[in-house]
Amino acid sequence: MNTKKQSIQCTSCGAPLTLHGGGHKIQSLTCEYCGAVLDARKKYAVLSKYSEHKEPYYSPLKLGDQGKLQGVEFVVIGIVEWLAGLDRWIEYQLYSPTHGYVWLEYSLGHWTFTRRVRSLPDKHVWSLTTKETFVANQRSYVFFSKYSAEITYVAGELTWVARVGDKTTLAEGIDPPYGYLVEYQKKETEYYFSEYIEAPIVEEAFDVKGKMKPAKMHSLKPYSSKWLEPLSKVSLPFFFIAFAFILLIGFIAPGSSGEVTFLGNQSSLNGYVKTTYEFRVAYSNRLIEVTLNTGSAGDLYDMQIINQQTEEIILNLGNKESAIEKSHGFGYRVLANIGKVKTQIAIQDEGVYILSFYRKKIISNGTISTPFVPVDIKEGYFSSHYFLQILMISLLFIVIAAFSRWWFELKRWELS
Amino acid sequence: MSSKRINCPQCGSQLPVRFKYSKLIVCEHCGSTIFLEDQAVHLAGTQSVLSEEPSLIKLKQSFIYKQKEYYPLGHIRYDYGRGFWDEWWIINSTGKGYWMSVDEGDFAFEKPIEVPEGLDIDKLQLGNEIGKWVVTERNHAVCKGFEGELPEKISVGDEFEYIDLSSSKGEILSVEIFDGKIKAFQGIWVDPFEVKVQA
Repeated sequence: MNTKKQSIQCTSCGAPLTLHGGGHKIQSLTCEYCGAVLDARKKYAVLSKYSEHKEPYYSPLKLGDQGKLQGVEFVVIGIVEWLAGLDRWIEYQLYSPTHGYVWLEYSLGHWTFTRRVRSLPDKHVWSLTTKETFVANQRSYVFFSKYSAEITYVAGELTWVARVGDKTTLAEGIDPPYGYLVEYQKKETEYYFSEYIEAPIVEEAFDVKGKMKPAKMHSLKPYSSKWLEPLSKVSLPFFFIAFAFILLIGFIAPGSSGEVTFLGNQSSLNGYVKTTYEFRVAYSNRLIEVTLNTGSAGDLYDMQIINQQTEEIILNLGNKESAIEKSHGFGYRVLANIGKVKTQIAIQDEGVYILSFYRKKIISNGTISTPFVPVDIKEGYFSSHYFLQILMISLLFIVIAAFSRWWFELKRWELS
Repeated sequence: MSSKRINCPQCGSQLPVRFKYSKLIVCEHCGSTIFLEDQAVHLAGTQSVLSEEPSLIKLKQSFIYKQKEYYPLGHIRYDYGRGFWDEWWIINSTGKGYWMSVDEGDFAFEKPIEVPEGLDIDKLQLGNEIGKWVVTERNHAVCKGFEGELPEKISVGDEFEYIDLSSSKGEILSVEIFDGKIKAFQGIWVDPFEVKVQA
């Protein structure tokens, strides 16, 4: 950027000073050597002078540094360091011949880009309490904090007269990465719009040397997560799709009831009863759900399904506990609920199948009883098992990401 | 945007007049100022050359503001003591004209309005509140030069008084007094970062 540089001598200490191109709205020039504040509109007459002049605590930029931000070339023409309690930050007054004056604020490795706005908030910001909302500049902000700050260092050209020791009060609303700042001065109130800028962008733009690792939090820092946020966003459609399919399967595609015929109970010598059923599968390559409503009919053991025509064993399980351990995929799967055993099995061929299972005889008051165990067959059953897995995994990512964001916001609001 | 063509009475070059209500045009070839009155063309003399200053808005280079395209037709520069500001006469796609004033990053977008009834110029003193308006500036300005096509006659050295009033909603009302005539303009302050110049 071609700036109109001018050299003058400090009218207080005689040091050579460079004017880096600020325009006719510049009101003051502060000598970076002696700290004297000069009136830019009255031939640099001395407004204030000091017996000592401290350097800023840390300043990554210096007067005259140039860089391109938001597509606009700027030059650093002024520096003001502020202190509020233990918080210290630096504001750089930037000038562009085409866009005028803006502020670049540096605080513990974080950068914000601020410019004056003319539209006022819809509420008196100073009287708001934490997390109350207000609207300004067509954006809704959450009230964040209010504080007083004092100038601890000034150098270069500024659009107002700033002196070390001057105080101001500020109220801040946030809508990360944007912020709205109200500055209450003695005679007037100024309004500013801020935007958080990632440190590498500013560092690259202004060729900053000696980069500082940013502090963990800044009021305008937007939440970001390299993996969790994208995973959560990707998971969301999966969650809803899985949820929709589970509902669909549950309400629309529960399967049609098949014919089941009870063939009888047969006692065996070792205290068990073998119960046998016959059922018909009307279509090939369909998923069948067999439900044994065992109720209180005793534990179930050794369940078997055989194709009556080919005598091929389709399902052969040990006791139900071991059956659960063996279960896998769509080959077969056994779900044991209280009073029910559900088996889902993919059957390739249509035809008649024999279902048999063993259970212990129940002896009560010396009488052996064999309660009836109703069996339901559902043909064309759709399993929601995999959709349930997708639902759970996607929900896990969504919940973890939500927790991560909540934790981030918790830390942000600790600053207020 | 319709345009008619006239010839410069000084050098004979063709001058496209893009705005049908234009009253002044500066010949790009010889720098002569030409007044347009009805069908007549009057040579007003040679005007001063404006010094080239960095500017977001440039003559005949359209820009977008709030999704609408504007085309800068004319440009006037005023000196107000501490410095200068630029007034750009811009038209939209329907040919409606507005003023965009630019003063070191302070952009104001205004359109001519009827002078408010009962306006008392004497009451418009700095800091005074008139309804929703507050007088923020009252000063004199001198025309330092102009270029392009303008909707009013102006001459280098013309001096007028201006009064700026602002509202809390970012609105601006400008009153100009020149030769005893009062003109008023109303508009809004503009964020220069919302003005996108067409490449």
